[in-house]
Amino acid sequence: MDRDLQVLSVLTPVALHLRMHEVGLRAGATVRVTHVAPFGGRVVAVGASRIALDSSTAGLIDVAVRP
Amino acid sequence: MTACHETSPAGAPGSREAQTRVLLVGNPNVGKSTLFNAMTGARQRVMNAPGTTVELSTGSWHPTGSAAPLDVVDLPGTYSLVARSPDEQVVCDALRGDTPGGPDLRVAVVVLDATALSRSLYLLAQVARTGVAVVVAVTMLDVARAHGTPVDVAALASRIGVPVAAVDPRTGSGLEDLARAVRDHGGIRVRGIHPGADTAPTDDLTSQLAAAEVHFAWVEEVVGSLGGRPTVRRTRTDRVDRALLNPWLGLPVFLATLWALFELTTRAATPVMDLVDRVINGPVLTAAGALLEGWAPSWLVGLVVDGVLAGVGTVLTFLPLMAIVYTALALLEDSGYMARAAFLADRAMRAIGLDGRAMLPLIIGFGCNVPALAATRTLPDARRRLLTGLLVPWTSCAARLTVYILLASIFFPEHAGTAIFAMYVLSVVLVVGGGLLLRRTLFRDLTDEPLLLVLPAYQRPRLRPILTSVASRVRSFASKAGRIIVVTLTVVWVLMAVPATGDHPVGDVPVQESLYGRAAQGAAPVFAPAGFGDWHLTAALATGFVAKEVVVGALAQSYAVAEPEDVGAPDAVAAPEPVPTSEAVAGTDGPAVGQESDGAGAPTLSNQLRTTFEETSGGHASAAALAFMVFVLGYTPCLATVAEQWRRFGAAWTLGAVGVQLVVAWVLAVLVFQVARLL
Repeated sequence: MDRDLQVLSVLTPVALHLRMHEVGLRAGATVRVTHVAPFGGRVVAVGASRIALDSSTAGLIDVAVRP
Repeated sequence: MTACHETSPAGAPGSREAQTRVLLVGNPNVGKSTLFNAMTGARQRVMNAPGTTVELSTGSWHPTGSAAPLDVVDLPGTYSLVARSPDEQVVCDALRGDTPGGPDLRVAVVVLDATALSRSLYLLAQVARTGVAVVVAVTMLDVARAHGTPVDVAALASRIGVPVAAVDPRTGSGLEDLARAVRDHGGIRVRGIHPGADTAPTDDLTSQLAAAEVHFAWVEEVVGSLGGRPTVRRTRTDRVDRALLNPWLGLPVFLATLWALFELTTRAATPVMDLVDRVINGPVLTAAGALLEGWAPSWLVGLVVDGVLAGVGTVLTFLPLMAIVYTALALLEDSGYMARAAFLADRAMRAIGLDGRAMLPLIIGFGCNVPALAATRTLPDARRRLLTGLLVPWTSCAARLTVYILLASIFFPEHAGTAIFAMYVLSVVLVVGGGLLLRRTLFRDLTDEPLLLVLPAYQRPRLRPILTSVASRVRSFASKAGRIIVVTLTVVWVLMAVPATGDHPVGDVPVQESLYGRAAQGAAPVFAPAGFGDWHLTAALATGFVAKEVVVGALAQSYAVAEPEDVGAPDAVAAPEPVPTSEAVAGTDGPAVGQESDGAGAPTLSNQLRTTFEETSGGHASAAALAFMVFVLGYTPCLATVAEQWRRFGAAWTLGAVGVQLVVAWVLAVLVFQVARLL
């Protein structure tokens, strides 16, 4: 949390894949987890946007810590 | 899922004399509707998109210097033109020119969020490919500047090659620039995007993803040319969310918000509704009666005063409640908290197959079903709104409580609270069970999509646009749902005023001898298996179709006894406690004129009901009373709910829902009676 991460890949089904891309969650994007909500949901920052994801969907985004 | 990238000749600028239709397109929460309110002011109305249950706002914009007003349509928010929901399909249809009755010339005003430029530009690219004339309005410039990522509007206009106006919908600044660009019919070509090129509509997701990559590459180029990608910085919204999304604090705040909404629809709204009711039923009806007195026949006085004006009064009584709820919802949406509430409730609602945003209308439903239906507009698409709207009538509204209190205190004096609580438990069971059943039958198309919700930044709501929007929605309720209510109540009056037997003048008929009473007598045997096949009870249920508040009064009227005062009091309606004792209900002596006595005391409503239920149930009065309460919970809540459902979802869904509610209520009542009488 609160560290810059680079999205390596998004492993969601194709239908969701497109929506993830549309909101900016695509390979190469720099993101940051800003909040962990009740029941494990995550809020992910993409630029100035904040995107809420349930825990299982968040788990499908492969990231690496950005140097 | 369909894409709607097609060049449409109708969208190209043609004759300068033609009236222009402005289509507002943008991502959710970019300030599009606020911009619409700033453009149109009070000159707007709410309507459903043709052939759908998707709500659209249309209005008339009179910018300075324009010879003719511009027709503006506020389209649903969308992230892309690859339509995944009826709402997104409406956007596609509008851009294709499939909204009949409007001008031929269309200009799409694409609203870009300066704080999420990439996401907005992606939608702009898709809109540009449809071939429609485009004008860009950039919002949230001040927020982007505060985030350290300012957007150079002139550079953006130069890069994309279409007119760009910097606007602040909350203050109205920039509207003149926008109007000028629209008057010039925008730009046809967004630089780098080719209308209609290699855009064969396809339902193949892989092809759509490939097509999207082309747009993403264009977006990257544009954003790069404007100064690079924005970085992630901690914002004021993040600091607020640290509290409001905190696992320990977030849920209590969310529950407190739900509680406040519930209180608004009950305690806060009740005094205002009562005041309107007193004015209508007092001075207004008295004045109307006085105006007609002396020259109009008594049936005409009855028709106007007790039929039409009573219907108008019912509609007017609902208006403060609707205004309060619409304002509360607008405040939650404008402030940015609504999306957080949906995020917090999502896990719980998902367990029963619903969206997190369904929590809010369902909670409001326990106060009143009518504003709860209005609250379904906060759900993201038409199918989910419909699903929730079909479940709302099973949330046990406060009006039903009057019936529960009356019967529970008579038949379960030692356990009245438990009996009433059981009704609320059953209400939740009906909502959950109904939701699960509908998801597995008529709503199988609603897939369990993972939660992906863009959270808007918190901002201070602006009162003026909120009030404009609330006024427009309340007007829409009054004109459409109101018409249905007035007509139906007039018909009910006619049925009660026309004698079926006996020598009575029209308008002065004992209930049992009216068409209404005869119909109730005819329907009574239907309820015999549930233990309450009696015309007094059936007539009260029929009256309850109009409003549950009047069931107790209808029972009293049919027995010609006084209505127990405690049951109908606003406090009793708004709060389940204190429950009146059986003595309190039974102790209200009514007029004895013409009344048979059951031999167990004065002919009070309590005694009459005991006698009736004893007779109809074969000695199992408590079981029959419980079954009656279950029926009251299960069947149509009130006419206003039906009218609002009709307005939102159309006749077929509404009538189907009414039928299903009646069947479910009857089956449950029979089941409860048949089981309970064995205990």
